[in-house]
Amino acid sequence: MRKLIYKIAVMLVIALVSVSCGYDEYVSDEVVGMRLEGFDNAGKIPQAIESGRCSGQSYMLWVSFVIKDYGDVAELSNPMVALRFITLTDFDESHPAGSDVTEFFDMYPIRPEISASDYDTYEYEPVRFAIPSHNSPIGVVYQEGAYFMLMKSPAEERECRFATDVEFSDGKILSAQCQAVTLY
Amino acid sequence: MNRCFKIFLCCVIAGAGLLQAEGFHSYEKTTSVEMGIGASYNISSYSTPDNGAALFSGRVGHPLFRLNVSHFFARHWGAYVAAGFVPNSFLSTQKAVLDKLHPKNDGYDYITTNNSKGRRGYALTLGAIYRWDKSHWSLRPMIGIGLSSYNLEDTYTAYRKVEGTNRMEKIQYGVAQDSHCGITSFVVTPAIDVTLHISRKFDFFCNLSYEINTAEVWQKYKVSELHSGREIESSVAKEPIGNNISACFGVRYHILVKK
Repeated sequence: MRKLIYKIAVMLVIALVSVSCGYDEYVSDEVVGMRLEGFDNAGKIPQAIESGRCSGQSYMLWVSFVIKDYGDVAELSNPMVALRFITLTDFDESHPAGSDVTEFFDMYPIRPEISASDYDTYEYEPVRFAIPSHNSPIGVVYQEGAYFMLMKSPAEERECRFATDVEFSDGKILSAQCQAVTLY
Repeated sequence: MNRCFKIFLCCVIAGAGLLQAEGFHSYEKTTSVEMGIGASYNISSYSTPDNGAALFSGRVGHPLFRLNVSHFFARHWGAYVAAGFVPNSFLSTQKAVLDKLHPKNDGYDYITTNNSKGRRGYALTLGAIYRWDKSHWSLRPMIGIGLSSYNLEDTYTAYRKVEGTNRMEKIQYGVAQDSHCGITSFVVTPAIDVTLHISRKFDFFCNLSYEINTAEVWQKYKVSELHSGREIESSVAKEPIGNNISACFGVRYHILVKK
């Protein structure tokens, strides 16, 4: 009888610990920074670029956010109203350094940190980001952000570098730059 | 060794007793409840080359759970009511479905989930049983009619990417918008049941049945470019809910036995 009571008690403790260890996303109210990294989407899973070279047909950028107090989610009192990509080098004849090249990028439909693992063994989830505009601002931002795929590659091999900035309804602007990459 | 021999001897005695147990159910008026588990396999014919895969995984096996209550009111004849539940199968994952929909090594990387898709449903049938009892076993052909209800998922979305590029395409498939996801169908189920009597109250049974569903539903399938939204291919076809051949085994308990 004692053994049975002991077993039940152990099972209850395990159940309580399992329940209490559930991960909740920490919610904050402000985005305080952002990051921009280049990725190669040639394979099934986007990979970080290590050689400094990437095909222009598979280049992508990962925009992620730094949330106040190391939060996972920001419920913004001043929603995000714009996101732009700027080329810091001459992209082509009509897009010299400093041009807005947002139209060349398309959002990847899968959540970034999920897609970094193997799709065959892990379930993917849809991206939790939308491109903001003044007409459709976004009030909730997750720190994982989103991947953006380059849909137009330069006509010839060249070194490219991109920056991104986001604007909030109170006029605050955050920006980030990625490392230079040779697109071929 | 000695223990093995004793176990063997007990089995022989029990077996002999079972065989000698002369007709402890033969043609008695019984009311019984039975529970069985098994597998069901969809063997329908489909008009589309994917054999209904885009709709509900097509020809795959599903687990089957069955609950049946029967009553024999005459020497040979009885009636039954049966409820069967067919949950989603592990063979119905989105990856398995896309493997059926597209040839391998077709120049695309497929981005899918491990979610099970397909159909899960219930069937409730009323029917008649004929029994042919021997001392320790019986054979029972039966036929039932009733209703089945299948839940087909609305729209599934997967993605594929031209290998080595950012060119992505969105694949959407499932039940077309003018069809409902919950489909109710008329069902006819011929079956045969082999029963082994193990005691006055308990039987083992094995049941083989064929479930004919009459309903049809529209299946949609569409591939479009993610960037431009341009439609690359699409199809809509009317497909049957599916006819299943099922096998299950289980235990029957006789609630009431009258001589």
